[in-house]
Amino acid sequence: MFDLNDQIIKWRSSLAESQTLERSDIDELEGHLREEIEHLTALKLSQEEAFYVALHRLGDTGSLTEEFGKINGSVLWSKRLFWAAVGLFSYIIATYTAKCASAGFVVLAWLAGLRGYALGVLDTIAQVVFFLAVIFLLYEIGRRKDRRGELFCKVAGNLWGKFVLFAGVLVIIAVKLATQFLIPATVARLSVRQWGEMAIFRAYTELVWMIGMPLILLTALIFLRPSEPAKTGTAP
Amino acid sequence: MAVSKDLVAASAAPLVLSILAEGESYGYAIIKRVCELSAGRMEWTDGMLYPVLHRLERQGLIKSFERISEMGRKRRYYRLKKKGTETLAKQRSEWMLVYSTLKQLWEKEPCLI
Repeated sequence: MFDLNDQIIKWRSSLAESQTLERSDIDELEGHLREEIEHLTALKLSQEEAFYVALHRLGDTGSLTEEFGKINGSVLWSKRLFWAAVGLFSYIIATYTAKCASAGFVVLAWLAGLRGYALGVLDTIAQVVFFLAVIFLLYEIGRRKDRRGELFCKVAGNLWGKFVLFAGVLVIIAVKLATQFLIPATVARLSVRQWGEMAIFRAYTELVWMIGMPLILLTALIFLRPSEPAKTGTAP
Repeated sequence: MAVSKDLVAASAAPLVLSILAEGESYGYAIIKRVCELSAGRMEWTDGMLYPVLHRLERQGLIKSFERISEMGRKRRYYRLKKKGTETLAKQRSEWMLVYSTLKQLWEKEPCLI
């Protein structure tokens, strides 16, 4: 049995595979295809016949992706670079926030009387929790309000936005510097043995991080590989 | 008689701009208009119109906007911008020059046609 929506989904994913067409381009072509199919079925063609005739008139996937590639090629790469930069920036923000927060916790815990391994454990937990929290927060903002990067583009394109971004980076650096000096000032009062215990724990967690991070990234690369979702944009 | 591929490609931009000069329109309707004007003799591969439209938009000659069609479907419309009108006028005089030049030559030897 011929299922038009099913066929259109397949056709969409074959167009999406080349990555030279943007989602909105495919939506526009689908609108055209559907309108032509309606026109042809009104001329007494079956839905299946109409689909193939309309597809033939629209042009084969190879030449469509080639033509779109000519105009979208450079845009595609600047977009990829843009998102790579957004990713890197998010990573830096998450790392800095996690380090600053954990440093604060360590100082508070030390004032509360915790020592040695306990400080190391607290330091690690705080870093992991804050790192994940910031990544999750940025991901949520991106997913809900900013599917195409419009928010980031708007902020980066606006004079005030640029100022806020710049000021934000300065604040992060200032906090980082402050904690960098705060920690030695605190640990200078720890005994060498206690400092050693904390450092050993840190070394182990860093080892886990160094092995875990590439594995997480690899998994993300495999699972987040761009593919056309099985959903049509203008399905009736 | 079909028009050669090169000529179709060369005339695509002025054709699209001229159709949009009649009023805003969208891909499918533009294709139908070309078909109607040429009595079906200028055959475009439908999909090739869209890269042309997007290129014209990037050059700042036309502007696209989305609107819900009468069928309740989201559709991308295009409208001519001021720069597009100016470009069209320039292209028009170029095409008229080519046309009048060829015409003078061809009218001398009508047997060739």
